[in-house]
Amino acid sequence: MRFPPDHSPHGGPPDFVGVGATGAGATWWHRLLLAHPEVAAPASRGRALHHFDGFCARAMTDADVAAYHEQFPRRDRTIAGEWTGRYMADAWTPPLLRRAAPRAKLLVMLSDPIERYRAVFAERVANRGGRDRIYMADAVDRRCFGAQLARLLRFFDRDRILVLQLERCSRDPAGQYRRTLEFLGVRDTAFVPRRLRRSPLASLLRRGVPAGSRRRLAERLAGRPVRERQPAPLWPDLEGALHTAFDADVEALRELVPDLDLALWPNFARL
Amino acid sequence: MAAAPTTGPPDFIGVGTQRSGTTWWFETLLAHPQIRAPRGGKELHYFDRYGGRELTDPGIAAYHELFPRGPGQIAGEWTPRYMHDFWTPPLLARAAPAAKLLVMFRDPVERFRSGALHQMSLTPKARIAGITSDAIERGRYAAQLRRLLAYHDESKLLILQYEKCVAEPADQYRRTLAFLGVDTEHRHDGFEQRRGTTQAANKQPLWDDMLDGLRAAYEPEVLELAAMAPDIDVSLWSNFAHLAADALPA
Repeated sequence: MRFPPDHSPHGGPPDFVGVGATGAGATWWHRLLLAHPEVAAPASRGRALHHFDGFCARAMTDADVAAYHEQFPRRDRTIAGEWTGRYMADAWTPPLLRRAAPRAKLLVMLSDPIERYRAVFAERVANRGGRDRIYMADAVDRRCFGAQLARLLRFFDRDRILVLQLERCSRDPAGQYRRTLEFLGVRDTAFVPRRLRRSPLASLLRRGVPAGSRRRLAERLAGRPVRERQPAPLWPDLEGALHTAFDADVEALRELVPDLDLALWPNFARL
Repeated sequence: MAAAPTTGPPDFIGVGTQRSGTTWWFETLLAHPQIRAPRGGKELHYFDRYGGRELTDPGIAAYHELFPRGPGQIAGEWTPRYMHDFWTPPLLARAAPAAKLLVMFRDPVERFRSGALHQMSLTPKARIAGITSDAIERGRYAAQLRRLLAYHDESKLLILQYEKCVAEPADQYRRTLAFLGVDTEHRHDGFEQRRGTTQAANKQPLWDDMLDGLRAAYEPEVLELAAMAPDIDVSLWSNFAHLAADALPA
């Protein structure tokens, strides 16, 4: 599907909005999209506009909608959009998006929720600053992707939503990039950003060097010790509780996204 | 001479939900001569910290020390966030495997309104989007109940409905006492004395977009909850009364 030629250099509704998820590689993917000559960045140059965050406290007015549209100027034959990872998790945002961007295509990038939990946990342990307690309930709430996608579907048709998997994009970036471009309806779907045109040696260095050697190389380049963040080990009660919290939701997600490849999510491959 | 109180695992634990009348109901229970309060007040929040580290056997023993009771008495606490904190149900199964569990549910939209305002009053500098998002998630009752039932037998759980307790307090009180296994003939005359804090004066009407978003989030949860807990009367929840026909048990 092509977008109608009603876009103005002075702005208009976005052609696409990335709505999820936080910490799932959306920054990387949006930057790759912005490398495409037919994809324009928001006027503020911010990747994530967070435009709807504040409308949890007051109603969104028509002026607020117009202000949102002003964020998306584009030249002829280009499309524009933004990507704010929390939109999908914030229950008040889907009805606002339907008002402010009724024809936008929505992008969602997901990753294994338990792996992400481990990373957030490690971060909070590192930053605890002497505090005794670490509350992680939000880290689960924000990754109930099945429930979030189900409520998004009350406001947008399924064919307007592309669900990507970070793990698949990491393994096959060119293929998934092309898939994203086709979904967005740009003309040149064969375009490959320079960042994805890595030399075989660079790919080998990126993927094939053992962690210890990579750290030593990084230390030599930085001239100082470099600490590699390791996923925090979790204990059996917590591991079990995480699976109890996520299993049913991941199964619901798979119903909504039949091409979700759970083999790529190590914590859910058994499902 | 009266026997000295003994301590041990709690006989009952209230596990949910915040801003649903649990302080009122717990105070009402404490008026019963066979029910003892824990050391430290209604909400011990004992398991909050174990989202960040492992619960050990000494940690369990320390929990048991918080529940003194005399002969013929039972003891318990009521921390509304236990049910929302996904890591807590398995810890409760370890620390109090025989305890009976109590849950009080309230219309999730009304709970949200009260919960968001309450949290804003406690943490005025926190980001409002974060508070709002958290307050919404705490009303996803079915997901929380599913997690709880993964670790606790249904027969150990009493589900109460705030609106029903307000409408028929004496009946619901007797029901609660019977579940806890204490004398159900005890009369309590102070139901109208509400305890806890209220946000009623601060509540503003919600706007249409917000209501649409909340209903999209909660309607599937309410229907699933009604299927799991047939005693829940959806018609008492004004924001979801339109689901009452769909929520009838098969």
